[in-house]
Parts: sequence; structure tokens; C-alpha cells
Amino acid sequence: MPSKKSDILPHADALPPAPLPALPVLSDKSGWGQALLANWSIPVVLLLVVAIGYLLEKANIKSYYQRILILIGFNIILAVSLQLINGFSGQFSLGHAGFMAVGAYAAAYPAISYSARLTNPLGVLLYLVSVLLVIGIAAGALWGILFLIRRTRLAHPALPGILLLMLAAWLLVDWAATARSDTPPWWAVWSRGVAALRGLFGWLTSHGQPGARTLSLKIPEIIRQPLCMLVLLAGGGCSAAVAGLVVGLPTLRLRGDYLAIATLGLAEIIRIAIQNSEPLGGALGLTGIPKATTFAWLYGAAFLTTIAVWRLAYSPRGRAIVAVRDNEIAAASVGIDTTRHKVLAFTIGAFFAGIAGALYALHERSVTPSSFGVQRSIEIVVMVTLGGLGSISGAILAAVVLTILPEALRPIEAYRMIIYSLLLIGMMLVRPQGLLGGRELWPRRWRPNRSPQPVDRPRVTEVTR
Amino acid sequence: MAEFLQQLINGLSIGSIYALIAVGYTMVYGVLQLINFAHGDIFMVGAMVALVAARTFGFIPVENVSHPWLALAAVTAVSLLVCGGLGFAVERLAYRPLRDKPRINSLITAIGVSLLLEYGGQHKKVFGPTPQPFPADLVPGASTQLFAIGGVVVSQIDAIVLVVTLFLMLTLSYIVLRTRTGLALRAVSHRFDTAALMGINTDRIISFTFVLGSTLAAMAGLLYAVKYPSVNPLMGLLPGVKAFVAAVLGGIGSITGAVVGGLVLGLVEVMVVGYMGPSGSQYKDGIAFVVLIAILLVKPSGLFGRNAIEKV
Repeated sequence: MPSKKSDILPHADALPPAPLPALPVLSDKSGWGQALLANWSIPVVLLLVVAIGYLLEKANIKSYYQRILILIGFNIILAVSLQLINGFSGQFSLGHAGFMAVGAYAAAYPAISYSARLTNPLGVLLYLVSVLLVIGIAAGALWGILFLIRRTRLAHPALPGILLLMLAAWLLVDWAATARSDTPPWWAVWSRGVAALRGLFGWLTSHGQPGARTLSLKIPEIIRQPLCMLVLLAGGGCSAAVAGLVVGLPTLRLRGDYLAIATLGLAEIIRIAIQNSEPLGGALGLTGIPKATTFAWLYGAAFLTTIAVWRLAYSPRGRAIVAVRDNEIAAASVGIDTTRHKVLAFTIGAFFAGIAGALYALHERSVTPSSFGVQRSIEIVVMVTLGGLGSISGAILAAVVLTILPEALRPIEAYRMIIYSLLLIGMMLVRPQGLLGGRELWPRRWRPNRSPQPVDRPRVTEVTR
Repeated sequence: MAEFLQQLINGLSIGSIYALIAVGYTMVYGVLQLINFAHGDIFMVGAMVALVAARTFGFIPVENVSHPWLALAAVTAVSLLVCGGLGFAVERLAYRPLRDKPRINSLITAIGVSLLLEYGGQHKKVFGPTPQPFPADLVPGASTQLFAIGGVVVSQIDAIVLVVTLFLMLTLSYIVLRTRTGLALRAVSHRFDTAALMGINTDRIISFTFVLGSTLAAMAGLLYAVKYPSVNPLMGLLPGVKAFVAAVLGGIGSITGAVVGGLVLGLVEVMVVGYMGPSGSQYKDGIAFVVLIAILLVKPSGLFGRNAIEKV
């Protein structure tokens, strides 16, 4: 240990003394405390954003400008979450609107059925937990089937294929027979299984709801609504994350164009499934959702999305994701689990898209399946590509620009979308790497320390007594 | 049994239209490894141009037409020429500059061209967003019944669709298999740079591929407009995606595969709607996507596709 600073640095005495921050020493306390304090800027900025949002709400801006600000908020969340999938993970997904739809409906249905004025957070929580349970059971059954397939494959390689074909033929004949007569055939095992799951779900919600409602009334009134919002958003996000898992796993070995079409197809399947299910309102959708999205919630969520995606992308895990994008075989040979990282990108991107969808449902007060079609997916993809693949600030910038642009072009309403598409083609021809070319806007010293330059923010561990 | 045969005829009829569009997708993918998202919209332009041409030539009150087959030929010729030119222009202006750039740029440009065609068509000076009826009687006796065996009714339009598709497929296979240009096309789709080294003008071959594909799509558009007599700027979306699924089903890059895939998809769609009762017709449009996911999971190279080995 050098005795004096001047032993290592000859000019050390001439340097001004290192500024001691007025923070307690945490180097010997737990890692959580350290992490929390090192990241103190995040809750502070979040509070700032929420405060500004609250003030904006009270400021009574013209509703036209309010609408633009709200749209910008949605587009920021969607663009940043898609940037994780398309840009950092390199999986060209055209199905982001599908995740948004899942989040929207997952938040809208309990908001209408179990908490009309968002005063019943525990009821909503119970509903979402029941859904999770049912999905878990269904997933377990699926896993069991796959397990059996793997076992039969050990007996003979062609056996699972033959059995699956027989099963598919049986199911098709059963479905056709059910469509033609009223009494379901006695060997409709699968429809019984679905009915059993539905029954379980109904039992769980109907038995627990009254208790949940009375319990909710015990929660102090002032936090009831925010708590309910939080549960709805989390529920929407988690449902969309499950959808992201379902989309991400089968499409693992697809590349480029195939992946684009497969994600498009899966998003359309989600939309058509929602459109054809009566409990979710069918083609007319759900109406009567309480309006609870304010600027504070929206921009708070946008801020958290940006922070989360940023922290993921510029972390060792994010580096692994980017490595899988750049050269999958090289990444696998270095020991990176390509499956896990690709699915992680999809799931987390879908999670935030679900949050955007939930906020959308709670703002628009009604959701229809047609508002989550291919067009919306393509809009978000255009935003991400315009900003530059691999750049979070680029995605935010492009989201802002591409929300304001169609509104600015409204005087020439008829030519608006034509100019939009010409802009897209022109942008691809002239500057295909996007506005920021994959780089970020923020000053360098806020990024994790990659270059040999020293960080000039004093780190807590370096403070000496 | 009669119902099954009826559904078979219907399925083959709509499947042929999907096959015509799918061939365009598959040829372009074969030479450029690009999914031409705008192809469905060229299908739409074919139908639209046919309607506009029929109006301009004064064929619309169909009773005024003295030589119906000649009128039909004129309208068809205009439609095919315009769409061929459009395909050529799209390739030249939008895809050629991006040929040596990463594939995602071409993909997004294709989406841009698709949006341009759709929104351009929706502009009121061009067509307008509302669907307009197509004079199905332009094809003489289109809705009449050609013949009926047992309970199976074959209408004239179904017969025309099948015959025209057969003729076009035979012509296409002649071009691709028996001419020098077809040989060059096959060479370019097999190995691009080697074909260039062999003295093939790859630019010209690619333009030729686009023109050929667009012409077939225009014919498909005309047939579709006669079969379901309504034209609107967004009519190319769904058949376009279904034709793409058909191309993937058959093995993208293989023309035989596209034809077989189109027919199979048409048959599957009609069978599911026909036999699954009311729930089937709701899911009609979803079937194509389910087939797509199934084929991508089980055999991504499709029925006739070649399995590309990934080299490190």
C-alpha cells in the first residue's frame, strides 16, 4: 500500500483534493443498498417525470395537443420495446401490435368486469392470478405432451409423427361432427379438457371475488386507484410477456424474412382469435373501460421502459444479445445460450408492449381488435428503423418525429399517407442506417464505461474514510 | 360426395388464383432472396386497371359491347401491360439500389412500396377508398353454369379460371424450362454471382423475373375481380398474404411448389369453411396463418424446397 498519494502520482499534491460526496460509506454494507444508492438518479427522475406529468394534466392544454402528447407517449414505449427485439436482438418482428393487443385486453377485461372504477385492486389481482394458474396448467399439459413425444421418439423416430397425425385427424373429425350436431360426441376429450379449464377459472374468480372486494375496501382509499392501475399494468405486461414467450420459442430457428412473416402471422392469429371470442367482445371489442391513463402514468411508464431497455441492452446480458445478433454461430461457440437470449429479448419487448397496450386500453376506454392490426405493427417498425436499429434514443426520436409528422401533414390529408410511404422508401434509399445510425444521443459519460477514459462521477466504493 | 366434389372445384378455383400470385413471390425470392411485400398490391393494381380500362373504353354498360371476347382481350392486355411495367419500375427504382445492402433495408422498402400502392389507390383522384363493383359480365356468360354432373355445378367462371391458370402455367414452364432466358433465370436463382460470371446479364434477368411475376399477378387480379366482383385498394392484402403462405408451403424458390402450395391452400381453406360449420367461416382468414406457422415449425423449406445448409 503506498503511503502517500504522491508516491503514485508525482503531481498528486498539486491536484485539488478529491471531492468527498456527503454520502454515508456503504462499501461494507449489503449490495442492495449500494445498488439502490448508486442508482438514486432513477427514482428521482421518475418522480420528476410524474410531477411534470401531473402538472401537464392540470395545465389544461388544448385537447388536440394533449392527444399528440399521449400518442407520443404510447409510441415511445412501443418503439423502445421493439428496438430491443428488432435492433438489439436482430429478430425482425412484424408482430408487435399482437403483444399490445394481449396487454390491452388483459387489462381491459378485469378493469370492466371486476373493478368498474378501479377501486378493487385485489379483485383484479385475483383474476390475473387465476388466469396465470390456468395458463400454467395448460402449459404443463403441453409440456407433458411434448415429454411423451420425446419418449415415443426414443422408441421409433417416426412414431410421434404418426401419432400426431392420427390425433390431428381425430380432432378434425371431432370438430366437424360437433359443428353438425348439437350433442358433443362422447369421445371429445379435448373439448372436455378445455371446458374443465374454463370451469376451474370460473370457480376461482367467482369464489374469490367477493372476498377480494371486501379486502380491497380495507386498503386506504387514496392508494386504491394507483394500486389497481399498477396491478392492471403489471398484468397486461405479464400476459404480453407470456405471449412473447409463445411467439419467441417456435420462431427460434427462423431468420430474416421468414421470421418477419412468422411474427406477422402469429400477431394476426392473436388478433383473429380475439376477434372470434365472445367473452372478449368479438369484433366490436370491449367498451366502458375507465379512463385512468394520465400523462404521469404514461410518461412514467415510458421513462421506466427506456431505463429498463437501456440497462438491459448496455449490460453483459445485452452484450450477449447483440453477440447473438451479430453472429449466432460464433456466439454459440463462445458459450452464449442463443435460445435463452433470443427468447429473453422477445419476452421483455413484449412485456413493455403489453404495458403500452394496457395504458392504451385505459385511455381509449374501448378496445377493438382492428386497432391492433398489421398497420400498427408496421408503423412501429418504421419508427424503429427510421431511428436506426440498435439505438434507443433513435427510437425515441423517431417515435416523436413520426407521431408529429402525420399530424403536421394533416392539412394535405389526402396526400398524407402517400407522403409517409414515399418518405419510408426514400429514407431506405438515401440513409438506410436510420437517423442516428445505431449510435445513441446521450453524452458518453452516462454510458457504462467501455473506453479507457476515467469516470468522473465519484463511485461510492472509492470513498475512503 | 357431390358436396365434396363441389368443394373440390371451388378449392381448385380459388387455389389457382393463389397459385398465380404465389409464383410471382417465389420467382422473385428465388433470384433475389427478397420477399416482395408489394406483390399483393400489384395483384390489386391489375384488377383496378382492368376496371378503369373497361370504363375508359366504354365497356361498362356491358350491353353496349359488340364483341365481348375482343373487349375482354383488350382490357386484359392493358392490365397485363400496366402491371408488367409497374413491376419493372418498382424493381428498378426501389429494389435495385439496395441490392448490395443488408436484406432488412429491401424488406422495409418493399413494405413502403406496398403502403404507397395502397394509399395511392385510396386517393380519390386515383380510385377512392370505397369498393367498386366489377362488371363480371365482361367475361361473357361468367356467372352461368357451364355444366352440371350429378349435384356438382361447375360455373363458367370456375372453368375459365382453371383453364386460364393451366394455360399460363404451361406457358411459364415452357419459358422457364425451354428458353435461354428461362435457363438464365434458373441459373441466377441457383447461384447469383456465378451466373454473372457466366456472362448472364443479371440485371436484365431480374427485371424479366419481376415483369413475369407481375403479369401473372395482374391476370390473377382480373380473375379474382370477375369471381368476386368488387374492387377496392386494399383487396390485395389478404390474397397477397395467403399467396405468400402458399409459396412458403410449396417451398419458396420453387415454381412447382408455388403452384402446388396455392392449390393445397385453396383446397384447405374451402374444406375448412365447408365442413366446419359456422365456426369455420369465422376462422377462414386465420387458416392461412395457422398453415404458415405449422409449415415453418415442421418443415421450413416447404414441400418442394431445398434445404439450405448453413455454412460457418
